[in-house]
Amino acid sequence: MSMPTAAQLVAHDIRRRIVLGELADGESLPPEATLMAQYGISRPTFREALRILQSESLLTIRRGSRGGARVHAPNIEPVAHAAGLLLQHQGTTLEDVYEAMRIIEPPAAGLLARQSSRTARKALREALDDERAAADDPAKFAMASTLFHEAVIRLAGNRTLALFGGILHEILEAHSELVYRTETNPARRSQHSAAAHEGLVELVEARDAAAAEQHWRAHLDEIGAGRSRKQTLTRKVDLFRETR
Amino acid sequence: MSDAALPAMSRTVVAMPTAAQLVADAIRRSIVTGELADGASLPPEPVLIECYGVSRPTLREALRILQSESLITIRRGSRGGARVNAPRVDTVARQAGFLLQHQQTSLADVYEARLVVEPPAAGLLAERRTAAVVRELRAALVEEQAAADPVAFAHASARFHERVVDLAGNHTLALFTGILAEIIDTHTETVMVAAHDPTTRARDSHAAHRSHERLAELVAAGDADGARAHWQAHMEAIGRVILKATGSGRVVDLFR
Repeated sequence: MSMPTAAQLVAHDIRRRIVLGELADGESLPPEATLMAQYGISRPTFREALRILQSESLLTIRRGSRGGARVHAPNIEPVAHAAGLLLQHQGTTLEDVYEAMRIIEPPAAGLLARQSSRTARKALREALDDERAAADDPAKFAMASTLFHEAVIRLAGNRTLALFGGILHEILEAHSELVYRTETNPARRSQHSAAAHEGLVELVEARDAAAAEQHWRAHLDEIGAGRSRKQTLTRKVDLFRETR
Repeated sequence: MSDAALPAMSRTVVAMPTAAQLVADAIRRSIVTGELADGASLPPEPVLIECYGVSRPTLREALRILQSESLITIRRGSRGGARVNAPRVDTVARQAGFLLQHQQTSLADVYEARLVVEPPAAGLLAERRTAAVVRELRAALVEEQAAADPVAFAHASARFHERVVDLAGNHTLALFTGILAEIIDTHTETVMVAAHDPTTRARDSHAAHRSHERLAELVAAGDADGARAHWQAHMEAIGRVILKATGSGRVVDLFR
């Protein structure tokens, strides 16, 4: 193991303060001169430390008279973004991602029914309402439906699973249009899926964990069924589809 | 376990991308699709400016965006320039670890998520096993066997768990396990010391090793249901010991 450089040590210290919340999201770092004096380092070393933190999405640096370094608390979006890019780089198929969904979502639905707060149950109901409101627009509906799946994991009360759910969502969101476009009968599929989601909301509200898990597993099995759907799942993750 | 107060994923925000974002998008795509290989140098600044038809500040802004995503490293000086970093698990894992610690995620929370992922992965592993996979799993057992003391065993055991998911052949699940690997490794020793009485540590390690061997047998036999059920029972039993020893309150701490 090599000795860390002065810049790495300073970056480590600032990183720790950001992660522990001592430096809050959106806060400005003290002026360069102050920090250079505090850490007893030169300007190039200090700038190198800032670059390290910038590459970890923990700081942004603005140039100019109102410039300076601003703190970004760790946030799920850059993590999910980076994870999505990694999966695409590995040539991951949509089927692979779907297999992971089938493993993670049903137990999350069970946890949601067992341990969720009133607020969480209300938020789930709202996600369902959003979906219903989009019923006439297949593209919007597909997006709302993806968000409902994401909400199931996020609201289940497990932060680690919520992180995994955020990563799954990053990929599903980029492909939701593809999924509904390749559908033979999108209207029927939408109706069917909204009914299944409604069923889950009821089981969660009834706090029936076993039934919620089983219901959600059956729904996920159904999502992957059908020839056109199977065809779609053989494709590879492509997060750049929408920007092409 | 946490409450539901996590922020929702943001809805799609419709805003026109800036020129810098468009340039960053184009370079990012080339990196992610592998057109620009890991370690490759980006062309010199004047070439990029010409190629994208943007100003120097715009190009630099684009490079800063990519730098903030760890997709390039910029070196100053005469041998300077931008170098490509292909996406890597450890980069994602590091950021994910900071996020979980920032959210004061408990070790119990992490373990609960592992209980969701690992037993079904053991089932997939048995279902899809190949001779090579079975060999690799046995090699991980040999590594465990070679551990000199209970702490070394605990680390080897954590790696065995990770291998089970890695070898199951699902990239997405392997990424999730990869994300947790550093967190698990950082806390392995503390958890082991807290959870096992010094006088029974060696015996407990031995029992865990036998249970891992049993999994390898079920995988080799292609018994998916058996492997899943065995791994579930194994992990639930360990989970109870860990939880009793560390309480549910201990949170992820990557700065120990």
